[in-house]
Amino acid sequence: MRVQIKLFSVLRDYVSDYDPEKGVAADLPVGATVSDVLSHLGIPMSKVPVVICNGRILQAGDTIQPDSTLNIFQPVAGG
Amino acid sequence: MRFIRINMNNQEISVEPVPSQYLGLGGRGLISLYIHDHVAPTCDPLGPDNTLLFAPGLLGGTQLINTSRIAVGAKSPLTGTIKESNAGGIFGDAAGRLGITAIIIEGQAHQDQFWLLKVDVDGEARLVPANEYKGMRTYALVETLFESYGSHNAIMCIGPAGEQMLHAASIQSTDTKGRPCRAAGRGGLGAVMGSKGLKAIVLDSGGRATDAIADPEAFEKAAKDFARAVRSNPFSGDVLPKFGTAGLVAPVNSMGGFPSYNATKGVFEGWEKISGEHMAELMAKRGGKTGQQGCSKCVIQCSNEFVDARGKYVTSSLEYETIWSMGGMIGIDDLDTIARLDFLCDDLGIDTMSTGVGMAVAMDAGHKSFGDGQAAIDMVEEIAKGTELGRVLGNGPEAVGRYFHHSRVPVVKGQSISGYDPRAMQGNAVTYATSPMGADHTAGNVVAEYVTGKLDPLKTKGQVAASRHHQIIMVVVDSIGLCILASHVLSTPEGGQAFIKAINAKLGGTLELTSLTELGIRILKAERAFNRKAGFTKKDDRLPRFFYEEPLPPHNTVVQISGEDMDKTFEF
Repeated sequence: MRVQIKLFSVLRDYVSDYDPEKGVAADLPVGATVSDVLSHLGIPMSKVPVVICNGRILQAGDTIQPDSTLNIFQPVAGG
Repeated sequence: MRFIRINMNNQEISVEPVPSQYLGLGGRGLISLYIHDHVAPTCDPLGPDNTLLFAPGLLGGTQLINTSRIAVGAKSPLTGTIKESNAGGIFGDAAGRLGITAIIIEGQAHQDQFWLLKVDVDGEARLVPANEYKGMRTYALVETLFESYGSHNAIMCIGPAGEQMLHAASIQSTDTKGRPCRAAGRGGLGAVMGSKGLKAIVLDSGGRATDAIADPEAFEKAAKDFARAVRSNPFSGDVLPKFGTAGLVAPVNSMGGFPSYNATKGVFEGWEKISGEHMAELMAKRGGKTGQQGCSKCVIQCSNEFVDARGKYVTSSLEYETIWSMGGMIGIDDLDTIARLDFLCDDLGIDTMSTGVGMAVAMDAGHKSFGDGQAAIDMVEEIAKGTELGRVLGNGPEAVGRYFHHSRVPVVKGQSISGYDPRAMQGNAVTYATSPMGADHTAGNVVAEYVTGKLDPLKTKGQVAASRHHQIIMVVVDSIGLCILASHVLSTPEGGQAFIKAINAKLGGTLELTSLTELGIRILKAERAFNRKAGFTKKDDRLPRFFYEEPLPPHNTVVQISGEDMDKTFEF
């Protein structure tokens, strides 16, 4: 299945020639989870990636739906 | 460490030892307890009975990183509540190193006389006639003051907005490069300063008179451990140095909680053009700067220097809340316009957040169109000119709402919300409604709980407890002089332990982290007691009606926390 991903903060450094306007597309097996997407992109957990889909923050074991758009960030706090 | 007390009625200055009941306190904690003890809650905030205080944090001036915040406090003309407003730059560190626990400004100068307070490197304070600076905008003012007094000074000052005693007037604070671009922005303390006839405070930045540290070796170790915790954290180690607080634009929009078009939408279509990522790219192309150190002893270095297409300086530092209030809130998706508005507000000495929200209300009422950048710039210039609309705008969003007979005014106790819509972040709804400060962006921001998946932002569960927790922590942070952007590491074992060890090494004590919680609760109780005596009741701890009735797209939720639950926030 196809998933569209937009990366933010330093996570963009993990995809060579990252295009901020288009993001990056990923082909993943049906039933892939958030963890699978992060492994696929090579984003280490040390960067503490936060995955948002449709305005909701997902957990590591959540399944990704086909044709989703994911926005992936690092954690933020108020300021 | 001492109090420097200034009587503006007769320009008498007295330097006093800190009374015993205020020992071990700093920043917001000191200021709030002092105001509770000494200022009549029913006084006119712009009259002679209000007191204006400036206090570095308890650890201000020490070697602990990121502890150079300056707390400013008084009764607020904008909210009518007790108010603490907090600024960065170099003033807090300079004050700490001059051995100043607090500068206390009482009374009121004669109507036509302005003054400047100068504190020299040996701690000597004097008032200097300052009528020649009347009407000056802050950038020109600090340039003149550096010429007169030398560049080795830290300055806090008001612009034309403070002189006009506009209720949203700020007090600007100089950064490491001498620009008056940091702000004690919220609550109109610039108006209080103006009402007392004080144009500027100039502190020598070469002081060496901090109190002795009880255990210097332990302090140094704790300070190193704390710095390591801050640097290795993804928010303060990756996001902030590279993108500044502008790094919040993307996640908050992605969560559907970015109040746009006067808080009628939770996602701003143009947000990618005003994100931290886009700004960093733009500045790299133009020769602007990100990752700058704006404040003393900061290891995060989140500041930026925004330049225009020709590489010319526009403003510093462009922060999330200004990008929100002058961007999404008024429909502007152009960083150049937002940067210009930021500069104008700093130069005039007025709060960017109140001004942006005020303009959003005006646009929502049909006065001008959302997205009209030139109209926004013209409106802010009207504040400088003192026109009728300028004075209305300068008096905050509620004044704008009344002037245009418009009811969608996103304020609590007169102060506007910040860049987190309460309908999409129920915990921030609680903080906005219940904080003694009015709606506020730092007083108890719960966003970190959502981003880390600990709480669901759209449900009521856990929100009151989270707001209570963050409100308590923030009082402590504001009392120590710590920057909020380093404060999230307090919730990690390494950061929390290092922090309490630093405090104990400084004071020679054996406090636990729980003692800090007790301090926070004590201060919040004093602030609430003041507000009660000033006439506030629980009906003032609620959000404006439209937040309960108008669902915010895309989640289409309203504030769901009941009044009864809001009232439990301060059940400690």
